[in-house]
Amino acid sequence: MRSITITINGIECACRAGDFVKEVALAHGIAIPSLCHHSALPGQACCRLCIVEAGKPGKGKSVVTSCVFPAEAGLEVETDTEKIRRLRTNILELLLDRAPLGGGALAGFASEYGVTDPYTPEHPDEKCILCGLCVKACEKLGNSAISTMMRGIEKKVGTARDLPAEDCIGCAACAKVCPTGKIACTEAGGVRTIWEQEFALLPCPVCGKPHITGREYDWLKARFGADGDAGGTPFDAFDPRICPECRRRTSSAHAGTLPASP
Amino acid sequence: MKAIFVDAKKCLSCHSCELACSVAHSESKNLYAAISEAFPKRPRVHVEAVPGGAFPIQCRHCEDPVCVKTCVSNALFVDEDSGAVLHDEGRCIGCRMCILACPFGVIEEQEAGGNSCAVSKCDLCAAEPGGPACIAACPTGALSFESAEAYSKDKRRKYLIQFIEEEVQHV
Repeated sequence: MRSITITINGIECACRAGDFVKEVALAHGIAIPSLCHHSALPGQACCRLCIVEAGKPGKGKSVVTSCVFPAEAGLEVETDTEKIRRLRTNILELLLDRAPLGGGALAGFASEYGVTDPYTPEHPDEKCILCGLCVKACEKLGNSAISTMMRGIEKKVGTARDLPAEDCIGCAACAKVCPTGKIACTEAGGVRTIWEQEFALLPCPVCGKPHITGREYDWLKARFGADGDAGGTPFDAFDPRICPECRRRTSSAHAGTLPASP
Repeated sequence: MKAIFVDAKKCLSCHSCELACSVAHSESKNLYAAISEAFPKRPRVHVEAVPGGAFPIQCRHCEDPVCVKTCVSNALFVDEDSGAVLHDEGRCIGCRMCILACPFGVIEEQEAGGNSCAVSKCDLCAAEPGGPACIAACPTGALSFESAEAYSKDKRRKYLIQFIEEEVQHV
């Protein structure tokens, strides 16, 4: 793709034509607030926090969502004008009204912009802003155990029929990418609990510490098997059931006792 | 391409490399400030007790890396210039499959607060101008950072010196 230059907050940024403005800003160390953006899971554009003013010189600027706005030669972008800050405040008020208990990055931006919910929330104990990052992360792993369900004001994220999903491997990537801390994942007594499903963790064959779910093991086995995406690597070369600490110890012991050099 | 070589005989298990690694990857780059950071950085080199001594192990930057093949979001990749296996935090979705897959167990979860998906693994101190911090910190020279050619050349030289010395004694 063609190499071009755009201007963000007066700083000239080299990029390729068609790169999203938010990614270009990130690459040049310019922070644009956002909740639903993830470099590996692009194209959400639903939290609207990443709005910026953008336009060609002499043609005026319009408000666009930078996470899906393609860069073109000569584009001028302002990420923190008074208008943008005012609009972001409004957006944060609405997001807080939707998810009053939303923590994580949402709570962070709310306090940064000094926003509290001026309305009466419909669901006072809601944390989810329906950004869908968790659904995309699960999809990326090829599991698709969770999805958005229902319509309109009843829309929510969950497993099919709210039953423990057979496709869920218990990796908790959904909980990691969630910008509001909605998805709970707990681990106690060798059992990991997520999406109302309990995973008994397999013990490490060396030290006995439980650390991997059976389905995580199956996932890795499928990926490294003959037909897997990473086929060609013998699955026997490593055993994911052995915990990382023991693997470290075993390989150190092996390397440390090789014939000594003169 | 340079790699970290370990001479296990010289390791005293002082853990200086671990400290230097944590400091080099901290926000403040200062030991006293680094330990009081909200999320102290984990060392990416681990001194493991082995029969008859100790062995500092870190990412081997495999030529055919299992972690890179495991990663679904291309957060782990092989750097074309240095050959190092690097991790892009921004692309990580936190599934931890690389941690489970690494044959050497040298990828770890890094607590970073919020919805940050960080794993910590040796990056050969790509951001440090002076090269890997563990090498500079090692007081006995158990760790070295050099090319495989330079390492073998040194080993050949040492072997020949020893060989000649033994021959001289026999004469």
